[in-house]
Amino acid sequence: MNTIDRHYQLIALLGSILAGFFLLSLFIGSNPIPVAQAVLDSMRDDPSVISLILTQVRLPRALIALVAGATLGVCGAAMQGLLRNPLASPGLIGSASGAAMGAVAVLYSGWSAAFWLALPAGGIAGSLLATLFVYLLAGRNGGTTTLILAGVAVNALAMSLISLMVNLAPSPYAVREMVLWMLGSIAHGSMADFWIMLPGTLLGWLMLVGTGRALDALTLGEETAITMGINLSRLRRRLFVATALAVGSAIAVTGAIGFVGLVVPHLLRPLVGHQPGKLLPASALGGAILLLAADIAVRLFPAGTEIKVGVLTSLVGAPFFLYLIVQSRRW
Amino acid sequence: MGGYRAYSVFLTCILVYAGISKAQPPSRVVSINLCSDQLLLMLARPRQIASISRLALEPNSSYMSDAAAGFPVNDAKLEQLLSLDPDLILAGGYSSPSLIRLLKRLGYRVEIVPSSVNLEQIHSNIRLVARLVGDEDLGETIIEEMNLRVHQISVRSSSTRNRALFYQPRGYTSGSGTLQDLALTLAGWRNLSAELGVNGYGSLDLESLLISNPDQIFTSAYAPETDSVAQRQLRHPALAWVTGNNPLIDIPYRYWICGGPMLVDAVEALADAHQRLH
Amino acid sequence: MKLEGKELFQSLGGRPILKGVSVQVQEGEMLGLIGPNGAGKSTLLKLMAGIFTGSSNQILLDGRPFPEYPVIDRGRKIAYLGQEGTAHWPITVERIVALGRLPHLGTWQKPTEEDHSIIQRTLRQSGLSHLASRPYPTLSGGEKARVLMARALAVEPELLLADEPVAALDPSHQLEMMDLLRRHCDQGGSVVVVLHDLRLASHYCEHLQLLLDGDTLSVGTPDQVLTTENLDRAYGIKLRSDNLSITEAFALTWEHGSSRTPGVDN
Repeated sequence: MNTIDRHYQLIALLGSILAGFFLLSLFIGSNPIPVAQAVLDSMRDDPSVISLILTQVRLPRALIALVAGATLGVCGAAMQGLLRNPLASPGLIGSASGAAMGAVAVLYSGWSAAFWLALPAGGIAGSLLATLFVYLLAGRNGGTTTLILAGVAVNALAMSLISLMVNLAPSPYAVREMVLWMLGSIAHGSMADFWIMLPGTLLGWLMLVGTGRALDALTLGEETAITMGINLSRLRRRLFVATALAVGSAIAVTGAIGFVGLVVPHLLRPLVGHQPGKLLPASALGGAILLLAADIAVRLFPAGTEIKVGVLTSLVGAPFFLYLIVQSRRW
Repeated sequence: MGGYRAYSVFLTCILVYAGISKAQPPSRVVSINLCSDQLLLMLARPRQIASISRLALEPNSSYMSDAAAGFPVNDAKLEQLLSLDPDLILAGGYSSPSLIRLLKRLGYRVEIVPSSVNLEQIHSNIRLVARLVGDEDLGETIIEEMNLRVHQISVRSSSTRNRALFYQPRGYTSGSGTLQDLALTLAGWRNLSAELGVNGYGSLDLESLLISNPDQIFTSAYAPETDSVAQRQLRHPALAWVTGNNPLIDIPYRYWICGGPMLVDAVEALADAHQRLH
Repeated sequence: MKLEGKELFQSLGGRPILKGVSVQVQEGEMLGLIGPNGAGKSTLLKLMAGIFTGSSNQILLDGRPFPEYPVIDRGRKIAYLGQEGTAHWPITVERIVALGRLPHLGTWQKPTEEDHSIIQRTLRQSGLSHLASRPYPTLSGGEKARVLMARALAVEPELLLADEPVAALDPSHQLEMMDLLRRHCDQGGSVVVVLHDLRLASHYCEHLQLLLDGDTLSVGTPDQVLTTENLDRAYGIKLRSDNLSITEAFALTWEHGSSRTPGVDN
């Protein structure tokens, strides 16, 4: 009983931290603005410049960070649960770079103008393709090493295809955007960007709702989970499609922001008693917190520097990844 | 442009006789840079031009793309240049220094047309190329015409200077010491980027742009029909909002990829936009 | 509860493993599956568990074929303890045992008081109460095996399928494990257990089914199955001494001593 209470306490705590960071991100920008006045102004018919900064610059940026972070966190937790592997994450099993590849193909070819969801649709397709490829390469009972190797191979392939497409793109600006797709940035997001990422991510999240129970059962292995009444092939399909929808839509707007899906579930796992099901909502909140915090930190660098938010998450995440590898060798 | 061609044909007839007494002008001029290409196409007789750079044909970059049609193009590759057997090679301020050194060592005459960001520099480049191809009078004529048009613009432009700035893909803007700054000023605008302390081309974050509260935002995007994340930035709805739903005005990039008489076309476009605001 | 399988077939990787085996488990019965390596014992068990679906039409649970049961219903009736069972995350013993109640709960349903008392009782009966809050990876091999068995018992299944549950356990832990299965039968449940130790098999099981090469060689009471002829055909072994009867040879000649493993209370 009290373990359930403790879980709700954790969710409430993470929720309030998230709310705090969200508000903070509305207050921090390159120019100090009176936020309260901006809120009042935004309700008028004729918005002032400060209300414009609040509602058209800072708000979409915070919303994009929140949705993308939550997506990466929850999808990392879901993948780790499904593959029973603490190293599985959208970044490592190819979903993220695949999504970037799909988005790049759509954007630079000019198809993104075809219909308003074309860009996330490209991300979703790329993400699904890459994830399935890794899954087929590593097999469903593949060990950590096989999974990581397959992920490395698919990531490298996706990155080289991105590089190729960026170089061949008709737009002269494309060639300098490689880093953006590889590391991710949310600095210039508008409400329009937020709206195009929202349908896919929401659908992905909804599909993840209720899978916690099956992921808990998978703790005991695939065969035992089947005998516990889990339809494994349906679960696998559902998680792959959900991850592709959510990660594909988010990455198509932000670029492949690394390590959030790896670090967040790992940090929160002990706090939920290592239960994969309870880890899902906690990781969604944790991912949103981490990306918002990273985006706030990026803004604290002097104006004119263009540090991408993915640079920070990777700076934190890469050493963490090494630590996890060292840890996993002990098991 | 047609004007320059007509002048060129007209003056050619007069100067054929005058030229005889002077040193023989070069007859196989090769230009390896878009900026020298354009001045060469304006000032030289067609039979003097042996080759121009490939970019001169590209209408988004080259103001002289129509005139450039038909001339052999080069890619600034050494072997290619040697096979053209030039008696004068024109290079730009950003041309590869190692290539230029090599050409000079091989005994070729290489002249550099430096980059220009103000009217004096533009004038001096016109005079430089005019002298090199042996048609200084045509150069002076072009300069006079430029000055006349700029003067006409300043006469008709309103006395109130409205706030404007350039916002380029990737969030770049043109501060002081740029051709865009020069053109904005000549057209009667205040360049907010220069006032915000941007020197040369620098990035301007969206918040600072909005706070500067421009009346008009201009852009000059290269390759307008293509798409990229950088170009998507120009479609941020806040940009339209802040100028009271004044749409972004795109000034063709070829007006100022190089300093030259075509800058006046850009000044006219900017001045027209200024008049429409009133 | 009664499980009946007729003429079961199963191929793995294109190779036929089961070639028409029939199997029958009665209520309250412990059936031991014996036979040499590769005879198809584990495959038969997985077929009964619903992991393999080769000829699941021919498996009847209380008279109804398998596919007619929703998987979740089967999850409540049948528990499976795999040969290489493990817990992949360092979760606590109590939480692993609590997973046994998962098939009884809907997606958003919380464990009831009854579930909690079942979990506590199972922990107690399996001698795990003192380990309840220990993370799984910190346990010894014998403790881990007991935890996974307790998880299966917490399902309170009508049929428990255990694949070599005593492999790699010391004699005392083997007895404890078999006692847990025995008790399950005494309370009205059924057990099918794959065993290699013929003495444990003959001591604990009402019936034995001897498999050889994907087919049944012999089925019946231990005395009926463990004959000189069957042993030779199935395993290629014979008794060393002629003056020892088969029954005497496979009698379990040891039992729990006075210093029991701490924590186990039977």
